[in-house]
Amino acid sequence: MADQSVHPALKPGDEEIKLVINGKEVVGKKGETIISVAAREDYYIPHYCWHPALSVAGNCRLCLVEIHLPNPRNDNKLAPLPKPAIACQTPITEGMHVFTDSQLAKECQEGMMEFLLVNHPLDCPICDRGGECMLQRYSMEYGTPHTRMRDPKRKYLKPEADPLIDIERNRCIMCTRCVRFCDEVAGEHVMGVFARGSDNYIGTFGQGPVANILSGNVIDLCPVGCLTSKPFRFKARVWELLQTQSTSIWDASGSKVTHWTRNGRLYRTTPPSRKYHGVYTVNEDTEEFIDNITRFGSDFPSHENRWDESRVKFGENLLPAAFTEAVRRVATGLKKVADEHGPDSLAILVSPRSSMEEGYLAQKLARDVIGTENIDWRVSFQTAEAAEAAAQAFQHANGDLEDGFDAVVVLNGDYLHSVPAFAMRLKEHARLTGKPIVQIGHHHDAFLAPHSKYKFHCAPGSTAKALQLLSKGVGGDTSVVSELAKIFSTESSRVEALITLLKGVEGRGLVLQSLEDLNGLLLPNEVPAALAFVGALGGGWKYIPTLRDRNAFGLHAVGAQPKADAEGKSVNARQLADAIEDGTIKGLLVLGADALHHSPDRERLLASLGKLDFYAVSDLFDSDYTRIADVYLAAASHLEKDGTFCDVEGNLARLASTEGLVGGARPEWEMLTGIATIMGSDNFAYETVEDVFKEMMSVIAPDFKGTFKKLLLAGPRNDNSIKDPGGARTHTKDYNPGDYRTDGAHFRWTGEPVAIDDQTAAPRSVPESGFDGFLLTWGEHVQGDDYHLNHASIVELLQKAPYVELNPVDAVKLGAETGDRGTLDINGESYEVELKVCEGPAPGVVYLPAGLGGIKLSGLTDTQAVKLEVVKSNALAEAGAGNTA
Amino acid sequence: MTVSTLPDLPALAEFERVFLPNIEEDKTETLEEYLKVGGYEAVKIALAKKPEEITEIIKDSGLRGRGGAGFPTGMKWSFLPKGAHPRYLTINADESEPGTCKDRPLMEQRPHTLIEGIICSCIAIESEKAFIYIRGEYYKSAKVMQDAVDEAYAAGILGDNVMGSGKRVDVVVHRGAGAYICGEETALLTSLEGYRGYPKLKPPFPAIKGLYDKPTIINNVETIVSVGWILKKGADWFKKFTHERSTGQRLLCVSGHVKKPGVYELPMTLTLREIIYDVCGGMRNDHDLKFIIPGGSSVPWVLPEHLDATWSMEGLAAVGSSLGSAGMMVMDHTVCPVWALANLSAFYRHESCGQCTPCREGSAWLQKIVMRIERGEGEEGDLETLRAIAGTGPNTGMICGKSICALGDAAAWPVSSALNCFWDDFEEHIKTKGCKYKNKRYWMQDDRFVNETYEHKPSWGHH
Repeated sequence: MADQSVHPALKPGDEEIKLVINGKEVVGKKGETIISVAAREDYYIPHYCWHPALSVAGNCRLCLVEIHLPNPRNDNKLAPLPKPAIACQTPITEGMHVFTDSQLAKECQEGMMEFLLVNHPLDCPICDRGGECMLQRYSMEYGTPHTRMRDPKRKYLKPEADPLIDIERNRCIMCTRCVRFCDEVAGEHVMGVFARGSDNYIGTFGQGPVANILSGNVIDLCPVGCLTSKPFRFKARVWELLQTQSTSIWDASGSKVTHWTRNGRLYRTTPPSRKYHGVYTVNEDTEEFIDNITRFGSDFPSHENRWDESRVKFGENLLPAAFTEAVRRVATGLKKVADEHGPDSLAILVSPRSSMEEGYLAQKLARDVIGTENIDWRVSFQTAEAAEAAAQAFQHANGDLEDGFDAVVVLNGDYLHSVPAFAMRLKEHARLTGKPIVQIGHHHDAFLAPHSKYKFHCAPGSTAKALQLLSKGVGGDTSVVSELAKIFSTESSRVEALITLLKGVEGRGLVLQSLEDLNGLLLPNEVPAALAFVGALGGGWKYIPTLRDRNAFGLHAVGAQPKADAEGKSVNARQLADAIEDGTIKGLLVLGADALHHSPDRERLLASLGKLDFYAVSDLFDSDYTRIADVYLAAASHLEKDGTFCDVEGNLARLASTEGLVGGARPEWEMLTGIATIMGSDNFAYETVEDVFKEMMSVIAPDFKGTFKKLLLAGPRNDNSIKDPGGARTHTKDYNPGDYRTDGAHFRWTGEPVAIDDQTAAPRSVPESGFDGFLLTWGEHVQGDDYHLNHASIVELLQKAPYVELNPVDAVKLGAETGDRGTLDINGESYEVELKVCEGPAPGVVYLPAGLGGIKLSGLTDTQAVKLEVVKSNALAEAGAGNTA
Repeated sequence: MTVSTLPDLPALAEFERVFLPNIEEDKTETLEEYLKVGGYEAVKIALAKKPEEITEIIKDSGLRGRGGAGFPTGMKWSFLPKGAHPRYLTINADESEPGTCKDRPLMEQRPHTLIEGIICSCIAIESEKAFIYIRGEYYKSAKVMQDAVDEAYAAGILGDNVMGSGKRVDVVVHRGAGAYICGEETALLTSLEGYRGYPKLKPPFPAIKGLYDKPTIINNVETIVSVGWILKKGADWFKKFTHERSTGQRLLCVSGHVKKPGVYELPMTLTLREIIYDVCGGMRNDHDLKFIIPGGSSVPWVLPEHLDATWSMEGLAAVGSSLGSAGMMVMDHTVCPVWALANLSAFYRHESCGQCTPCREGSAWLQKIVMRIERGEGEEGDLETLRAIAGTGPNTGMICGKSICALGDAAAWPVSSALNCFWDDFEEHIKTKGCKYKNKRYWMQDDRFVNETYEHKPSWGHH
C-alpha cells in the first residue's frame, strides 16, 4: 500500500527509501546519497571534496561514516560493514543504519584531519583564508588538538600562474574542487593535478592563467588557503569586514553578492555569505557562482577621480556646491528650458545600471512633471529600430531557467560574455539533465557549443528567414526542409531531425535570444521572427531575451522609455544626438554618465552636448561627460544606495547600501524627488527609497505581496531550487525566510502573438559572396570598455585584449590556431587581434567582441566585409628560423 | 629469469606442470611451435560450448584470481549484467608488485597460452574485445605479446572469424607508463581510457560500469592462462591438488636469500618449509631464516615459527598473512627488518597515486618515520605513531579500509606486521640511535636511498 502522503523530501513518483541515521528514522529517495539525506535531516557530515555543483571525487575521505546493513542471510539482523564508507558517494538503501558520530566515524574524521595537517604549513596568521577556512573549522570540530608530525614538511615553490588567483600549494589538501570546476562548470580544461603521490600538486597547464570569466569562483570553492584572491591578498582579515548582501550591477543574470567593506572601502565581493554556526562566511558549498567582473570590478566607487560633491557651473568653472543648491539649479534649469522651448525640448537619459526606483521616478518626472515622453535608457543599441525591437522582445519575455526545460533553442549571441552566470546555469542545466540545446544563427555561443545537440550555422542576416521557415516546418509544412537545408548548408535529414526534436517537446521549451549580437543591427527582423517562432512552437515554449545591461528589464518594467504609441512624438536615446544637433532638444538630464559612454557613437553625442542650453548629469566621477555639465550631481554608487534590480529572467533583487553615503553624494531618488518638488509637483513626497518602491510596485505589480526588506533578505534564487540540499546548507535555514517568487517579485510578461511577414523576414543585405575577406559580426563583451569598469582598481587585469572568434573551417584555410595573432582591417584601420578558433561563428564570419582594445565600431551600420590576416607569433617564427639556421 | 625444476617430493608425485613445463627446452614463442604442443585446443573446446557452460566449468574448477585478491573467477564473470553489450575483457599484465615475476615468463615464453585463454574467456563472457595492459617496463613482454597477437590475427585465430567459428575476438596490447597503481583494476581502466591512472570509486564495480563505462571483466594473466588449461584438461584435473578452497596450480616467484630463487609452478598443498628447504634448496649459506613476505610486498610478514603453514590462500590467512600474488621474498638473519621496511615504505610512498588523503599523506608519513628510525634519528613515541597510523591489522589504524583502493592498506600492512614481528629491533634502533646489522650496504639521505656499493639496485621505484 502506497503511503497516502508524500514525504516532503520526495516528489510523487519518487521511490521512497527508509533508513536510519544516528538512530532517527528518515526517508530518502532512491539514488540519493547519504550526505544529501543527512544534510536534510540536520546531520552535518564534514566534507572537502564533495560539492553539490561538482561531480563526486570521493578523495578527501572526511565524510566516512559507519554503516550497518540488515543481513538477509541472518534474519535481517544488522551487520556492520567491514569498512567505513564515504557518505558523498554511497547511495542509500532500504533499512540502512548510518552513524555519523560513532566511535569509528569520529576516528576516521580525526585521522583524516591529522593527515591533512601533516604537511600543512599552519600559517593561518598570514593566510587570507583565515577565519573562513574549512581546515580551521574542521580542525576545531573534528580534529585532535595535538600533532604527532615531527618530520620536515613537504614544500613547493609558488607559481605565478594567474594574475587574479594566488596559488599557495603548501596549503593545498588536493580536494580537486578547482580542477573539477574548471573542467565541468567553466568548461575549460585549464587546471590539473601534477606529479604523483604525496608530491602531487594543483596547477595550471603550462603555468598559464586560469583565464576564464568564471575563474574567480575557484577562490570560493577552495576550502583551504591554497587559492586566494590576489587583489584581496593581505588587505584585511575577513572577520573585520562588514558584510552586505546585495546584487551585482554588472551581470544581468542577477547574481547575488556579498560586499565586504570597511571604513567605506570595498575590499572584496563574493557570492552571498551564509550563516555557519552563527557566523556569516563565504560558503564553500555555494552554487551561486559569479563572474570575475562582479567579483573583482565592483570597487570602482573608490577611484581617485571620484567626485563626491555636487558641482554647479559658475562662469567657466564647475565648483563644489551643496546638494540642495545643485538640485535647485537642475530644477530651475529644466524649468527654464521647458518654459522657453516647451516640455518636449527636455530629455532624460537613464543609465541601464540605474535601479528600478530611479527609473520609475525619472519617468514620473518626465511624464507627470515635465510632460514629455523623452525618457530613455536604451543607449547601447546601434539603431532606434533595434531599440524598438528590444522593447518588443522584453514585452514577450516570460521564461525562467529555474522552471527547467526539455529543449532550448539558442539564437545568435555570445551569452557567456554578456550574461555570464545565466549562460553558466543554462549550460549546467543541459550538462546535468542531458536536455538538448539547439543553436541557430550566424554566431553560436562557443561556451554552449560542447553541450549543444544541434548547431546550425547560417549567413549573417538569414536567421530571421530560417526561423520563419522553421516555424512553418514545426507547423507541419515539409516543403521548407530543402530551403532550410540550403540556408544551413546541411543535409535535409538533419533539418528534419531538428523539426522532429522541436515538435517532440511536450513539456517546456525555451527560446533564448541575445539582444547583444551585432549590437542590435539585425534585431528588427530577428526579434519578430523569434517571437513568431515561439508562437509556432506552442504553449509550452517560453522566451528569454538577454541583454548585458544590468537593469534592462527593470527599467523596461517601470516604463523608463517612450511609450510605444509615442513614436514620432518623442526622442529616444538613439535619436538624441540628432535631436540635440537640430535643436529639438535643448535641455538634458542624464542619470549616470555611463548612459552617454555606452552609446555606440559617443564621440558625436559628447560633441553635441555643448549645443544644449542646459545639461545636468548625476554621476560618480570627474570625466569628459561631467566636466562640461551645467550641474553635476554627486551620486551615490551601487555600494552606497538601496534599490531594486530586475534580471533577464524577471527576478527582482535588492541592491543594498553597505556603509551609507560617502561625502556629499546622494542617491538619485533623492535628486529626482527634489527636482520634481522644486518644479512644483507635490506628488513626490517620499521619505525613503522604500516609499518609492511601494508606489512603484503598486503601479507595475499590484499583486506584489512582499516587502522591500524581505527582498533584501531573500536567499539567492539557487537556494529555492535545490532539490538536493547540500551539507552546510542545513545550517543556513534562517537565511532564506521565504520563497520570494510567491511574493510576486518575479516578472513575466505576456505580449500579443507576433506574426512575421516575408518582407520582414527577408535576409538582410549582406555583402555578396566572392569578396576577399570575412563578414564581421560583433557584440558587447562584459570585459570590454565600460565606464564603470574603467574606474575599477584592477581594470587592466579584467579587461580582455582584443580577440576574434574564427570558425575552424576558416582557421584551416588561414593556417591559424587559437593563440595566433592576426590583423583585422575595419574602416581602413588595422587592429592587432588574437585569434580564437571555436565553433562560434559560421564559416566565413568572424566575431569581434566589441569594446575590447579600443577597436572602433561606431561607423558600422551593417554587416561588414573585413580582411583578416594571420601573423604567426614571433616566438614561433624565430624558433623556426633557429632550426633552419 | 629461471623457471626451475622441481625436486622429487612425494607431494608432487602426480603433479603435472603445464604453464611452463621444462621451459629451457621448449620453444613455444611462435604460433607454429605452440600448435605443435597442442596449442589452441582449448579454443576448439570453448567454441563447442555455450558461454554459460564455460562459466560453469570455471566455477566448478574453483579457480580464484591469481592477481592477489583471490576472487573466484567464475563468480566474477557471472556479475556481468545480462544483455549489456559491448563488454570488455581486460587482462591485468601490469605486474608491478615487488617480488612478483610470474606473468612475465608466461607472456615472454608462452604468449599464445594467454591468447588462448583470452579467446576462451571472451567466449565465456560474450565479449568481442580484450585489452592486455602490460606494465610499461616489460618491454620484451609487450613486444612478444604483440608479435604473438599479430601472428594469431594472421592465422585467423583472432579477428572477426575466430578459427572459422564466425565469432569475433579482438585483442589490443597496451603498454602502461610505469605506475604501480595501474595494476589496481580500476586505475588500470582509467589509465587505459587515457586519463591519469586514478582508481575509481566503487560501486559501481567494473563488471557493471568499467572501461568506457561499459561492463568490464579484469583478470590477471595467470588466471586467464589457467582458464585455457582448465578447459583443456577439465575442472577435475584442476581440483586434483586442493587445499581447502585453493584449487589448482600457481606460479610461485621466490626471491631473496634462498639457494635457488626462481619461478616455480606448484600446487597449493605444500608447506612453507617444503618450499624453502626442498623446492628452493634451503637458505643461502645455510643461514637462519628471519622472515618471509609470502605474497608480494603488500602482505603481512611471516615468521619462521609458521613454517609449517600451508602455502595456500587459507593456509597463509590462518597465520595472519596472505598468498597475494605469490611473490615470496625470503630474508635471512642478516637482514635488518627496519631497513627492509624502510625500503618497502619508500616504494609505497613513491607509488601512491595521491588521489585520496589517507594513502597520499599516510604512505609518506609512514615512510618519513621509518626512514628516520633507520637513519638512527628515531625518537620516543615514533613506534606508537607508526602503530596509530598503520594499525594492528586489517581495517584498523588511520589508513586501512579508509582509502579509495587497496594501495593504502598495502602501504600500512608491512608496517603493522613489521612492528608485530620485530618491535624489539625497532626499539633498539631508536634507543641506540643505530643498527646492529653490519652488512648494511645502504645509507639513507633524506628519503632517498643512495647506493654505496651498487651491489643491488634498491627496489624503491621502477625508474
